[in-house]
Amino acid sequence: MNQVNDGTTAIPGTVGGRSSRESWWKRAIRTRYWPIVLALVLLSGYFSLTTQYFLSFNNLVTILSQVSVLGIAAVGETMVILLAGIDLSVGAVIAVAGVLSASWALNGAPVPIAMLGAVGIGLAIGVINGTFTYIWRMASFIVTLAMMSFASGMALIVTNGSTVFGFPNSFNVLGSATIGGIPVSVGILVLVFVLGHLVLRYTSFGRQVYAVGGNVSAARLSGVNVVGVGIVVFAISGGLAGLASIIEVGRLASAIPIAGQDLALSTIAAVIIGGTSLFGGVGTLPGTALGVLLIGVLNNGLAISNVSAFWDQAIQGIVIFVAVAIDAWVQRRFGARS
Amino acid sequence: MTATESAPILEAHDLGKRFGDVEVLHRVSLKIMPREIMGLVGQNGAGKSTLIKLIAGAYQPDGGNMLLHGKPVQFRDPRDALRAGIATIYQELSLCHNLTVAENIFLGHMPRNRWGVVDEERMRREADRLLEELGIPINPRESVAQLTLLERQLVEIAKAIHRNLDVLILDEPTSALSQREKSALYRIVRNLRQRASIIYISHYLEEILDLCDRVVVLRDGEVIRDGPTGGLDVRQLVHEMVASDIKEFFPKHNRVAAEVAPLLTVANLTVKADRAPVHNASLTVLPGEIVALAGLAGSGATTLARALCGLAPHTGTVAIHGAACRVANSRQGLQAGISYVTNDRKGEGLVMTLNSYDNGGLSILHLLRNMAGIITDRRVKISSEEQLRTVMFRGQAERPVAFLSGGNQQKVVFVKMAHQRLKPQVLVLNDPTRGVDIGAKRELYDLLMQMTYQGMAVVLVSTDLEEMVQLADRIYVFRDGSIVREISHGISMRELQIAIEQKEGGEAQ
Repeated sequence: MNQVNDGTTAIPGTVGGRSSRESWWKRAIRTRYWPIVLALVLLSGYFSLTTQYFLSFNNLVTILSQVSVLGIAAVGETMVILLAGIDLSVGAVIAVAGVLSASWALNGAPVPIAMLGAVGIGLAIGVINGTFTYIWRMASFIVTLAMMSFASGMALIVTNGSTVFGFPNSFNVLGSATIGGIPVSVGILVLVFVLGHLVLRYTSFGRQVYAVGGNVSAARLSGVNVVGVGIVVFAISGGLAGLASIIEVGRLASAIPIAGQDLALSTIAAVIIGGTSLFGGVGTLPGTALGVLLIGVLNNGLAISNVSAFWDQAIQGIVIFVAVAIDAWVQRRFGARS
Repeated sequence: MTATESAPILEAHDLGKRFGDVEVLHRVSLKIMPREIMGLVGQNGAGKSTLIKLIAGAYQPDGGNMLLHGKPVQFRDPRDALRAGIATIYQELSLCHNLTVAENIFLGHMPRNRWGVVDEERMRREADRLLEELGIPINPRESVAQLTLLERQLVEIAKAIHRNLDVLILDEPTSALSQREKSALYRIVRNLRQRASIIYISHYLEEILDLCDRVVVLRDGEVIRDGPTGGLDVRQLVHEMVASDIKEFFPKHNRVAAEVAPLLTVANLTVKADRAPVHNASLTVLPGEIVALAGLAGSGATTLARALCGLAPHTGTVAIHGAACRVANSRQGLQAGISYVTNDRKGEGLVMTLNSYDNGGLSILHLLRNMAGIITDRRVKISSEEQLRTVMFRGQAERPVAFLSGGNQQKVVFVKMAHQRLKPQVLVLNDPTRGVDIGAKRELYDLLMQMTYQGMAVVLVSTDLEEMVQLADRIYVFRDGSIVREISHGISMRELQIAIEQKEGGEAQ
C-alpha cells in the first residue's frame, strides 16, 4: 500500500485525508455493517444470558452447520442481486437436484458421479435462467418464478411425492461427516464464501458483475460482455444450490421432494440484511455472511430458548425488519456507503 | 393598462451564484412584465440555465433577492416555486408516459365525483377545453407514449398552465423540432401570453427576435443587454453574446495535411431505423483530424456516430487504416480501436455506484490482471490515477461518481474511453461538453488537441454549433439520413446553421 499513499501519486484536490480526519466512531458508522453487527451482538448477548447452551463452541458450530445450506445458496443469490436480478429458483433446485442425485445413488450410480450430477443439474438450471434473462430479455423474477414452480413439480413427479432413502451412506459425507469436530458442511460453507469473495473482489469477472449491476449500458459501452456475465452468474447461483442440495440430503440421510421450499425467500432476506441493494451494483459477501449469521443465531437461539415454534417466523420477521430499518435510517442520516 | 398591470410580475436583484471557485452568475438583475415574452440568450456556460434554476427554485442564490408581485420570495425547491406560480419546462420532459394526456395534466389533483372516485369524464372534458383554448390539437384520451416530442412539450405546457401560473420558463423548446413543428409552437407560445409571462431560452436567435418582446443577453454570468427586440438583428446579438476573446477559448489546432492516408474510412453505411436512419453515408477521417457531423435532431448524424462504435446495427463498411472491421457491438468497436464518449453520462457513461478509479478502469479490465489473473484495487487505482491526473480531474476520486460535478464526471468518461492502455485510434464524441463548466470545457478541448497530436482521429457530434465550427477540420452536414455537404474549417456559426437548416425550411413552403 505504500506506493498508493506516497504523496506523488495523489491527485490534486482529492481528499485522501477524509477518513483520517474523521473520528473513529463516525468511520464506524460509515461502514455499512454496524446495524447488523449490533443486532448480532445484542441477540447473542440475550441468548447467552437466558440459556446455558448458546455460548459454547459446540453451539457455534451447530449454528454454522444449520445455516450451511442457506449460506451456500446466499453466495449465488448475492451475485444475482448484485446484477439487479433475483433468483427465486434456488430452493426448488435444492429439491430437484437432491431427489434426482439421491435416486441415482440409490440405483447404483457411483456416489461421486451422483454428487457431480446434483451440481450439474443446478448449473443447467442456472444457465437456462440466465439465458432467458439475458438473451431472451425476460425479467429474472418471472423466469426464476416459473423455474421454481417447474423444478418443484419435477421433484414431486420423479419421486411420486415420496422421500428417497436407502442410498449408500457415503452420499451423506458432505451433510453429516465431521473432521476433527468440524462438520464438512461448515468447511464447504466457509470455502464457498471465501472463494466467492475473492472472485467478486479480485477478478475481472467480479468487477464486471458490479459494473453490469450498477449500469448495464455503461458496462456494455465499456466492452463488458453483459450476456456472458449474466449467464455465468445465474449458473453459479444454480450450481451452488446444486452443491447445497447434497448437504441438505446428507443432513437427513434422505431426499425430500419438498425440501428447500421457503429457502429462496430466506436467502434473499439474508442478502438484503447484509446490505446488498436490490437495485444492483452495491453489496458484498461479508455483508451476506452477517445476514446469514443473523438468521442462524435467531433460529438457533429461539429453538434452545424453548420458544414455541409458532413464534419463530413472527420474531424473525421483526428482527429482519428492524435491522433493515436501522440500515435505511443510517443511509439517510449519514450517507453511509459500502 | 392600469398601474398594477404595468408593475413587474417578477423582479430579481443582484442574483449571484458560485459553484466552488467558479462564479457562474455575478449580480444579475432583471424584471419580467405582465404578458411579456422575454428572450434569454447567451453562449453555453454564460449562466442561462443557472439563472432559470435560481428563478425556478432548483438552486438557491448566494446573494441578491427576488420579488414576486412586489413581495420578497425565497424558494426552497421547484415545488415551492410552482406553488407561487413559476413553472419551468426543461429539455428533459417530465411526463408519465404510461398515462393519458388528461391524466398527466391533472396529475396530483384529479377531479373526484361524490363517491371519491376520479371523475374521468369531467377530467377529459376540462382537459379538452383547456387544450382547445390553448390551440393545442391533441386528444386528451391519447396515451403520452404515442405522442411526438412537440406534442409532449405542448402537454407539458398545458399541464403548467392548468396550475394558474404567472411565469412560464421554456428552456430551449425548439432544439429538437422540425421547422413546421417550430411554427406550431410559436403560435401557441404567442397565444400563451394571454395567461402568463414567458421566459424563452433559445440558441436560435432569429426565433428570439421574432417571438420575444424583449431580450436579455448573458455573458460570463453578467447581463450584457436588456432591451426590446425591435430594431435588433442577429449579428448584433451574436456580437454581444460572444466575447471578443472567444477565439482564445478554443485551443489552436494544427490542421492536417490532406495527403495523409485516411485513418477511418466509412463506405455506404446504412442504418435502417424508424427514427433517424442513415442512407449510404461515406466519409473519411485522417489521423490527427477532427471531423464534425452536423445536422438537426433526426438527421442521422448521431446515428452514424453510434453505428461506428457498434451501437446501431448497420450495413456498409467501416475500415481502420484500410482494413475493414466488424463493429456489431461496442466490444468489437473497442477491439477495432473505436471509442465512444457518450452524451448520456448517467444513462450509459458511468456506473454511478462505483468510484472514479473503478469507472476509469472498466474498459481495460483485461489489461489490469496480474499474471495470476488477479485485479486488486491498488492496480486499478494506480492505472486510473495517472490518467485522471492528465485530464486535470479535481474531485474525490474515492467516492462514487454520483457525487462528482458534471465536468469531473465527463473527465472520468474520457479517462475510461480514451485510456492510454486502451489505445483507441478513433474517438467518437457525442456532445462531449454538455453540462460542463467553462473551465473544465477548456481542459477537455486541450486534452482533445493532445490526442490529435498523437495521431488519433476524432469524430464529433455536438448540439453546440460553435464547438463544431471552432474545433473541426471538416464538417459533414447531414439531412434526412444523407450527407448533403462537406465543409472545410473556417465557416462561421451562422453559415453552418444555415447549411443545417436551409433546405428543410424551403421544402416546407
